[in-house]
Amino acid sequence: MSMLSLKAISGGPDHKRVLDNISLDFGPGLTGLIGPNGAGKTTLLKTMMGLIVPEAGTLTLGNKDLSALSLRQRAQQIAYLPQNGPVHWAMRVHDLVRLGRFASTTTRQEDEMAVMDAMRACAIEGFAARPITTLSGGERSRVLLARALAAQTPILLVDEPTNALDPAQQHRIMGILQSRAKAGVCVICALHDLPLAARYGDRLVFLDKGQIKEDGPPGTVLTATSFHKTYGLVFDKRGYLNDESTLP
Amino acid sequence: MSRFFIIAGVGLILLILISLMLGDYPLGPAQLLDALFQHGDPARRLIVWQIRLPRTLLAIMVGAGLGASGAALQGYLRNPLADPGIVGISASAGLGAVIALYFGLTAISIWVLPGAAMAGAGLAAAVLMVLARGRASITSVILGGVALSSLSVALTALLMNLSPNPWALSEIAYWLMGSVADRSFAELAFAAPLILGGIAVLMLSAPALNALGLGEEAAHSMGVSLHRTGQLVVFGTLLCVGAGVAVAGAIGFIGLVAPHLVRPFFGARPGALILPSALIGGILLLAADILARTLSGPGTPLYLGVTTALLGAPFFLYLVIKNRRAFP
Repeated sequence: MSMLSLKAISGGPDHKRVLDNISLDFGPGLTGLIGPNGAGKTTLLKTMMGLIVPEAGTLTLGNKDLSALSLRQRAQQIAYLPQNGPVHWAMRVHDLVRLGRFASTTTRQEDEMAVMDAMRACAIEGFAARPITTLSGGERSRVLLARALAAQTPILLVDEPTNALDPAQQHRIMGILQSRAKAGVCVICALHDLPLAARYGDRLVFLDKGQIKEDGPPGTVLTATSFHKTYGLVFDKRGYLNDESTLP
Repeated sequence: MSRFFIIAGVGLILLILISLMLGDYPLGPAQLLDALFQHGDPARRLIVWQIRLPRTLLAIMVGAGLGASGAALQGYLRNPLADPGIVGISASAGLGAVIALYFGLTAISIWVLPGAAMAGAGLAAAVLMVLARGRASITSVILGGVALSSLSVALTALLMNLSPNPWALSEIAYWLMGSVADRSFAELAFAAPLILGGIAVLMLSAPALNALGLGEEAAHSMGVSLHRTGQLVVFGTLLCVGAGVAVAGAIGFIGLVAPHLVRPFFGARPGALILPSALIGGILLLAADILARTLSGPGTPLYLGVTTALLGAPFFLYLVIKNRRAFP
């Protein structure tokens, strides 16, 4: 079942051609977007969110053209968590998560239930009244994720959610995304950490220079050949990935 | 939250009473009540109804407009140091008024000066709205505002420089220092609807200002139109600050300080600060006016803009030192 569909998408910010003829269909489950820096992962997420208007190609949400939807209608369908998103004010955790309901048309009570669900899913209900500035990096990431979850959209776009987090926190974040994916949400997540991508992704899309290099289950995408082709890395005798020029 | 409104409300009522009793001809509480209900000495009634009441209400109105627009601008620009001065609307309104004073147009009608100030503010707002169009970054609005403000200040200085005589120069200089002295209900009737309308427009932007606290991209993805939010904030500020400068001259620091005073009670969401900042802005400006009147000597009035800056700047420094760890 296709929830979000891209056909021959090309373009990027400021009329740069970062994405080159991308066609993809996304359904329920967790899709990891992987690839080197500058591959176009963030540009692809922003294009799907409508933050970047593509130069060519079409984006369809269900059976509707994305560009025909209003900002609010789009926000009711897709939630986006930017990479290292700023928080400009020392907002209380509950107030911040509540912002996730900005585009909702539901009652106050339903909004509050969605906020509580999101806070429970991210295990942050214990510090709902605390200002975000008093939290640790891992807690802060979970609060920002809860804001995106609170929107209860069928599609969730997440950009590098595990950046700068310790391994336990990384697994916590990925676990939350995985449970949403299992509940039928289409989660598309840009990731640099390949072991995490392999562990949690139902499907991986390997991007390089704005093009799709591989697309499929982790086992078929994360191969010695794809590492070598894209990152210039090879497995050494111990099984570690290494730059080929440094090997004896 | 409700405790804040009760304390602030009681404080405002007390200040209004003090403001009505205080002056060259002091009134006791009983005399004030008599005069308010149109009893007793006609001279006292005249003083209360024609001189002190319009001045008091105007100070509250102008302060409320400055406080509300300060809160909205800090939220929109996501900068706790923002105030109506930073985006150039105050300075442009001041320039409009100074042009009217310089060319002696104020003799034509009492409405020329406020009209010219509103026109100056409107011109600045139009430039800011063009800058806020499309997907332009909010930084371009700040930078454009700073440029507008500098240009207006420079042109004002030029007009003062070219002043034909010392009397014209002093008229401009005193006007720029801000005052609500000798204002009538006519000025109040001009400014109050504009300022109240401005606060209502700013309130429309409140939910979007909260969302903007998570950055432009996150806010845009959540359904916030940056363009519409910018227009609401600029138009609301134009109404509040343009009308304020038009009737009371340039008054600084209220817009900067008011949101910082209410933040501890209402959390950090900028949208939730607009109304409380309006209330505190009104209280602050009335208190500053009472102080200016108390400290003024015979023949040497202390101007309101001077008092607000003298009180506001050290107080603001104290707030910054006290809260330096709370800024994210």
